[in-house]
Amino acid sequence: MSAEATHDTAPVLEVRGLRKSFGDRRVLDGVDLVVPAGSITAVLGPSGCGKTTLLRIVAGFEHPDAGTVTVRGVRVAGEGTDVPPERRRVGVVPQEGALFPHLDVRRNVGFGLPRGAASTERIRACLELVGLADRADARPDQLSGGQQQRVALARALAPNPSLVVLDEPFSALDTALRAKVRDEVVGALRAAGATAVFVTHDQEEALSTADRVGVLLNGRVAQCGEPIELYRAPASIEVARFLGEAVVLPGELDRDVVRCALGAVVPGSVPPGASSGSFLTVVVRPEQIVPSADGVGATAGETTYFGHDGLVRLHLDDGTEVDARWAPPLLPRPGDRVGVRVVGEVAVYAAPGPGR
Amino acid sequence: MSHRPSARATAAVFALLAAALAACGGSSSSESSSASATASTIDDATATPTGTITVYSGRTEKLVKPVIDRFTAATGVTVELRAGDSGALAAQILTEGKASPADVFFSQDAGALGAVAGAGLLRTLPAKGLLDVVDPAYRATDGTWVGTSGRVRVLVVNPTLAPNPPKTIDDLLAPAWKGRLGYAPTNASWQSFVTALRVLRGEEGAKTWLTAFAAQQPKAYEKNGAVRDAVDKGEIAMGLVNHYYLYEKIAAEGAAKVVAKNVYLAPGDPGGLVNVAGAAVLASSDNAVAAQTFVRFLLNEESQSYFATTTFEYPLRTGVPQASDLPTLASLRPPKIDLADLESIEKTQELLTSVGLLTK
Amino acid sequence: MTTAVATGSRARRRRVELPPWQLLGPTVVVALVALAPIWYLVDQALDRGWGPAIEEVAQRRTVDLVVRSTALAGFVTLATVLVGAAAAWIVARSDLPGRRVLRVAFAMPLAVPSYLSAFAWVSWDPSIAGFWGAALVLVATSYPYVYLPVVAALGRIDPAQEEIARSLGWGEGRIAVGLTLRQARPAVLAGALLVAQYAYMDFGAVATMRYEAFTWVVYGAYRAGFNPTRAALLSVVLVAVSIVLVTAEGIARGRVDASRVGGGAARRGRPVRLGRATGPAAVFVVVVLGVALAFPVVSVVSWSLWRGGEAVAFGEVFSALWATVGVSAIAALVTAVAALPVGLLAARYRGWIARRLEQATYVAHTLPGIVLAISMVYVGVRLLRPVYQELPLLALAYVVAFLPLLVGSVRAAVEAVPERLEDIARSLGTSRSGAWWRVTLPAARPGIAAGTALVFLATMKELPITLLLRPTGTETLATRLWGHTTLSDYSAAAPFALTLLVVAAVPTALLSGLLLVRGREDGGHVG
Repeated sequence: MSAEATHDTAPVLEVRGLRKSFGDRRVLDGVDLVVPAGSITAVLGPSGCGKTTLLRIVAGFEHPDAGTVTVRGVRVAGEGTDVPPERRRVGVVPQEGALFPHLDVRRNVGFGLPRGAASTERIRACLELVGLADRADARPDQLSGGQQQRVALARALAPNPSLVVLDEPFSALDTALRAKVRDEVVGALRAAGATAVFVTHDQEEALSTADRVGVLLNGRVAQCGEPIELYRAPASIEVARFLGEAVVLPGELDRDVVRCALGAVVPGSVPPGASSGSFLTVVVRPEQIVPSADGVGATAGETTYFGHDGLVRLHLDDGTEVDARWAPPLLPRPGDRVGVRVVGEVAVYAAPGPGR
Repeated sequence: MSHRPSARATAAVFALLAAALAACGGSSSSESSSASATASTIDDATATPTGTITVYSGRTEKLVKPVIDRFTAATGVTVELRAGDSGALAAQILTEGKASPADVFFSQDAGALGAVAGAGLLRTLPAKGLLDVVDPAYRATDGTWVGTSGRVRVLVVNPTLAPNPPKTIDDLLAPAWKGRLGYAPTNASWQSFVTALRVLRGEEGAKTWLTAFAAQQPKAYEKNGAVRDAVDKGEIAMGLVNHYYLYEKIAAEGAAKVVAKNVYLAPGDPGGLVNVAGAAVLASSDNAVAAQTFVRFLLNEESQSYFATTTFEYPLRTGVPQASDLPTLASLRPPKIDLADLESIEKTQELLTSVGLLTK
Repeated sequence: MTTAVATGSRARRRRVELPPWQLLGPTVVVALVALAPIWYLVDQALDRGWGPAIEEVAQRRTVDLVVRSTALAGFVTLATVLVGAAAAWIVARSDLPGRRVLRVAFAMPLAVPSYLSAFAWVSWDPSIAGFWGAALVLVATSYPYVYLPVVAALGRIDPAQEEIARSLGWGEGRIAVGLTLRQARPAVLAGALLVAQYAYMDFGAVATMRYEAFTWVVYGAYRAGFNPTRAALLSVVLVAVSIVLVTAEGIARGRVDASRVGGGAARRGRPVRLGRATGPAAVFVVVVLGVALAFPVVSVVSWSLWRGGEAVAFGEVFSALWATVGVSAIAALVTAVAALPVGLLAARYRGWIARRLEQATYVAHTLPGIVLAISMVYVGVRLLRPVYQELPLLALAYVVAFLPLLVGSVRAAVEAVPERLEDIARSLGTSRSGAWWRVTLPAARPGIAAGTALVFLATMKELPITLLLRPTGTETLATRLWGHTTLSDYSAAAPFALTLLVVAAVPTALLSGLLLVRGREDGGHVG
């Protein structure tokens, strides 16, 4: 359907400087977001960060106080423009599906299509895409939650929108169903070649599903990039803390390495202006701290067991406490003496750490 | 945040309302200024009635339909009958004013006719062959309406319980009847009687009697028919009702089965009041000839006999006999009263309420 | 995120912005029509100027009347809330046998006109007349206004809450009153407003029971006093009462709105075992249905036995039946069309204009039938003379009289449709008004249909407006009934009364079906 979309090099969605307040509560404070054609972008943020508001502004349900929204090169909101939702060609998949309760599955999917034979064919194609061709006559209340979600997706895809936005599409589903429905939905989106933005507060979901992830913190997109890049090189300590567990330590740059409580670690990159002797902040992931007989000495504290691995609290000999993630056979008993070192590159920030 | 547009819309709403109110004010004032009785009478004896007339009737269709059918057969004039409560119809005519579609107002009582006449909405009827066939006591002094049938207030009595029934309303106040009397507090004829009492004895006199009557602890019934049935069954000794309720029961169940008897009050006693149903022609009628012909028709011997035989009312056309069992109106010598004075029923209701005989 | 969604959705539940003209235009027209009686009342009340008007109203008697009517309306409202809520709880949550039948039976007294019920009681024992008689009849004929919305609301409450309360040591009684019924408060409030207004405006009960309330005196001013100015002045006081009621309900509703949590019940809870309370519950059912339904019906049936009677005029009954159904259907449909924009606006927009427009359609609802009838006479002869005493004006009068019944239903039904659905529809290329047509109103159909049935029902029983404004020659069951009872001819009246009861039972059953079937027996959602 959107063969041309993949050829398009211009971004499908461009959000610039978006601001929005409800009363005296500022929800969005200058959001910038670029979504390339054919990509699935996740907007990840903690509860109350304004993710849903961002989607509602993109879809046209809410007006921004400032900033612009551009869809396929056409300004749809901001600076005097306000294209109504019905003319934006932005498909919406809300939380819990929100199917029209008075219409059967076929009519739900065909809602945005003109009447006619072409539409009948399109409805069938879209239902096939989400694997529900046999439930066309069912009423929404006869479907399971996951099925409702897939019908909602088919409904959004049917009119061939420029962009599909999904608002916490899987949060209402129970854990068992969640991964399955997620795979089905993402599969359908990819099969349709659609450009999609979904918001979620679940980092695992965002990192595993999306091509690109934007982290929304304090009303701004703190960082946007590929999942692995985000995890490895968080743009700020906040992002690092938000994405997975982070061990934050003060350190000092010493030529190519940074010396900290865990010994000499290798920075991924050095903050501009930093030189040998600069005090820096080091962020180490718990899984980067591995047992090593000749490493930094520590005493094991309590462990938290997760099945596939476990977190162990280590009391380093200099008094610093850090958490390390080790495979179960490696987990020590409390009181055991261990040696540790850091593997791989670590993120380093100029921002004054706790040592200041 | 959208103060300005909402203010604009509010202004628009009020402009519309104001325009509507202005239109209303204008029309109502023009009407009240032109309200006056039409003095010139129509000679329907020479003109031929045609077309259609609308009759607002305080009597139900069942009672008037036979007369209307005969009227239409005799004259070719079609009648659009709108039956309702006399008082409500009077209020409707008063509200319609000159624009009323009604040609004839046929009312169950004189009060409603008087109210419409008072607003100058009735046409004066001709004396010859119309007003003058009815005793002056039973028509408007200004000739705007005429009585068509009469009903007498009586005591309906259970002969076993009251072998020597009272002959005046003051006799009802004897201790012997305490708790043994019945009345229908909301009945219009009862309220007319009380109105007559006020006219005849003055407000104080009426209040004295009503207070004493209330002290007799009379039983209140929903309707006159229920009073009559209670008397017949012996629940109470007697009740104040209209004369024809007894005859309705006799007609339905046969004389042998009915125990109760009517007792007519002494000549001149307020309790023996005669109420009338009457008819009038609207001043605004666009077919006054046919309308007047209809009123005249209600007074012809055939119609009057119909009232006498089917509803057991008193015919008011001089010379038409009442139903055979009834004493003549003349022999009853009812209290002398201008029926137009019976208009102030609302004051009567206030009085009745104050002595505790109307509401609870 | 959940808090953001919650605050966000609360903030956008109703828009403060000015509604689009497609909605505002029709609403303003409907509100102006609904205010027609006010036009008449103001003009008539000030007929003799401000001085006499103030003198007339500022009497001790007026105060007494306000007190008497308010005492009656207050008692009736409280009693209907108790009876209606108890009946709803028994049907929706208890294990009393025969609940399926009771579910519809409890709604049936709506089919009984107050004048019929009152007459039945007074004929049986005249000493019942007065405050308690009037209260009995009003409660018996109007408690379904509370019962129906509450039983519908109870069906939507998540049973998990009751289970949690039980686990926290609450007893069944405390749960029923403190938790279950408490959540049905918006429904109770809406019903209570209708009942209060009904108790102020009903004439049948207070007239037959001879309780001197406002309606009684207003009727008297017209029919016995021939004093429309006085009637109008007293009616203006009634309108003031109505405004107070509507405002109070609005404030109470606003509070409830803010505390309401969304989401429907995923499943139906297990009925509460009554145990030793089964006996009292059964007695309650028998007493309520006996007083409100069985007694008037048996009484009407017994009329036909009075004095042997003449043969039933089947032709008249049938033509009256058709006229009744025809007129009521037209009235209900026209009222529904008029109520749609008002209810939609009230449900989707906030702000001064939206509130006032909605309230405008409510203020005339405490006016007695005769006042509405006379005001439509007034408006009719001035502005709509060509259709005076024709069907269009009659229908318009019914619209004015019964609009509040439907506006409330439409508003509640639309509020139950998530605004999100409209957003989705728009993202699929439909305009805002298109989304209302294609999504909101169809999804709200059961509630709107229920309101329409309510108006259909009210029109069937209506008398004063019908008598003054019907097309000449049109006889409905109610006018025939009136005609015969005026002549105390009860055996002739019986077939009309019985037909009215039977036919009115149809929309009543429909009503309970529409409102109650919603929560499907085995729980709709699978996931």
